[in-house]
Amino acid sequence: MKKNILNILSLISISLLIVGNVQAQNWTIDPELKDAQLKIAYDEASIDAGKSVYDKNCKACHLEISAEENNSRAAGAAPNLGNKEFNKGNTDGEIFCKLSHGNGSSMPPYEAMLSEDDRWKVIAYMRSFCESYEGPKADDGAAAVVAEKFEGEISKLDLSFDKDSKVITVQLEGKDSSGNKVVPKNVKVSVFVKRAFGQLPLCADKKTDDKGQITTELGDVPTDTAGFITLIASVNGGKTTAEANVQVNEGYTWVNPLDGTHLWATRDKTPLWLMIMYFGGTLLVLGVIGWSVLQLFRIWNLRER
Amino acid sequence: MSEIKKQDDNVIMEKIRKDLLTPMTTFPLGYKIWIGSLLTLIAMAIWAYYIQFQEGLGVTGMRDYVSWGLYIASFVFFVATALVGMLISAVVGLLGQKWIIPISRIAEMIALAFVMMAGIVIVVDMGRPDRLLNVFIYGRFQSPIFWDITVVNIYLIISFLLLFLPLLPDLGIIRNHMKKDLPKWQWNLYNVLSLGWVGTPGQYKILHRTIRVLLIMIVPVAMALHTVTSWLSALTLRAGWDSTIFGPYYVSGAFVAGSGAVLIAMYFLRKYYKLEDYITDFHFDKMGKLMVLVALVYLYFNINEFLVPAYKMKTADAHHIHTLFSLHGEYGVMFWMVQIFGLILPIFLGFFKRFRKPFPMMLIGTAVLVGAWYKRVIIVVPTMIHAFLPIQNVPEEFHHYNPTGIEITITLGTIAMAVLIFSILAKLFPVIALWELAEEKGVDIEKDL
Repeated sequence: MKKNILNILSLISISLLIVGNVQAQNWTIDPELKDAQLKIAYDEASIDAGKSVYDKNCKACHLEISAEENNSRAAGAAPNLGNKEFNKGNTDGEIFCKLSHGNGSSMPPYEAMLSEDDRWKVIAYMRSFCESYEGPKADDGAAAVVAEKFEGEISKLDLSFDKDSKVITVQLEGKDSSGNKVVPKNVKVSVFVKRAFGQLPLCADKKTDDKGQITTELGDVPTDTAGFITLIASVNGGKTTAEANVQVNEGYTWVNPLDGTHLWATRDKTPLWLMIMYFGGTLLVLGVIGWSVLQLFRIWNLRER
Repeated sequence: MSEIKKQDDNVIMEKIRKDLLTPMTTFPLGYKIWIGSLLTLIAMAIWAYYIQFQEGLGVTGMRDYVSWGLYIASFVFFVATALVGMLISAVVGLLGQKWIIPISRIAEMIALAFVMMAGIVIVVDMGRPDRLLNVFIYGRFQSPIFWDITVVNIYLIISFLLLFLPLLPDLGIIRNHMKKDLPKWQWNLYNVLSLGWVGTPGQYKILHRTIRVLLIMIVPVAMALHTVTSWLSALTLRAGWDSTIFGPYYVSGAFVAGSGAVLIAMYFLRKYYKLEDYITDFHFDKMGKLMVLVALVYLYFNINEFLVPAYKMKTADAHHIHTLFSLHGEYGVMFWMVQIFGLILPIFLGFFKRFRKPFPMMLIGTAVLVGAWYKRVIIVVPTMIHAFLPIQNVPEEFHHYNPTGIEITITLGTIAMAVLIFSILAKLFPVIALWELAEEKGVDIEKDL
């Protein structure tokens, strides 16, 4: 019964939300952009760049994108932009306009927040979930080289930290299928700081350069009392990892909040004022009680003898 | 002139003695059945407690999440009801209200009986009562539990003194006049307890002053008692307890519960002890008005206590409020029954003079008192089901609280015990202070009456 009421209430509120949305849905499509195509090269570089823009700006509402036939999200919620219906029903230009101007209600305009380039990159990222999509290729061959994937095997992973410049360097070594040493270029490396719960990302999916290394800076990260932190480098989404315990500073002395006299401390650390209140109050009342008992004796003494 | 006055005094005292002391010597069948049924309940409770003592608290409905159940609710209820001793004798009495004279001893008897059971029900709630002393050996001054134990015991002592001291002149009267009406042991008991009271001006002076000091003393002690009791809950961060007004909320609620208990006791004592000349409609009218006053204060605190979190609906609070406010919530029906029959209806009916008569007042008092007990369950239990962290991977029974038969039997037994203590006190001692009545009627009391 309780559930029924809740269900009915949620149904009503959702339908109100939908009605509100339908009424307010007001996509403005600029005519000159209606049939436009992606204005950047549709390659791995722009897709990856689009992912980072998406993660920062869109993911809070649209959540993780996944490829699917039709949008499976609840009505009223921000749709899964990887659904085919959406990708096929909209040209790049239409998506660009929707992204730029919003719909006047739930979808805000991103014109002022994202550069034109970034907006196209996000679209490239969305399109990467749609297999049948064919975007414009880069004009020159150079861009294609960037997308060249390292096919070999990572044989060595070195994680080092320079205390003075606070730069973390991850050096990779690899070999190809026939066992020859090759420099692993364009390999995605992520670096984290190990924490008690989860890990703190420093850089995500950074690609190795021509020397097979990446560098990233360590910001202001809290250390243990000895000044150490543990770094983790992860290659190819965790297939190869390395850990290093590095010293960042000289450490510090931790003060236990239970030390000293506090209301939350143990009994031997009771604050003085509390003891005074307790014993003062209790002794005062016990004193009055004692005095009253004494009066009983005085009454007894006044009896007729 | 003085000769006439003297005769007058004797006539008045004769009647007072006859009316108030006769019930002490008679044991009608009704009283025996009443005591017998209370003893039966207590015997059942002792048997149930034996099982609980052997098997541990697992035989109750309390589990990891709801670790305070009927026992702690009853504890709060006992403490609350006991506070009426302070309300009637001290607050109203010190304001110079004379109408409380016939009922102040009833209130003190209730206070003593209920505060005794408050202490005992805490031990009942302990899985290892043999470790009770550890509370004193290892207790922290920072913990309200430590303060609670202290203040419950102090309130018990002061309540005892405030019952005993005004009894002295009456015990003197009983000693003087009832030697042949009472069994020898009982007369000896009164003889010893009267502490040689002869009613000299000196004795009265000491008596008046001591009672007065204790009456003043009991006001802060009683306030501390129930405020500290409220802090047992309010000093935690839990939804429903995390409230700054819990102290006054508890104290005002206590006055309502106590007024209900006094109304019930007044009605039955008046009826079975035939005290219609002493506890009159006027007293029920006054007591009814007092009940309405304290209930209005309590209603005000209730509105504050529930409206403020219900307006903000913080996540955990929202769950808690939903459980109470929605009739489909786990405690919704109980909550609204308590608020309507235990608070709003008594206030409404109390506004009309025709309801401030003995019988309607007794019914209203019963509704108030029963409501007060359920209100304590509502304060204690639902909060424990609404932890901030999700309750997961535990057996289904951990999500709810269903008191077991053993638990209910023990709880009923503790209530029966409190009523039994009151019934025995009311049989053993006059329920109205003879000397105060006499003084009120202008009898010269400074002599051996």
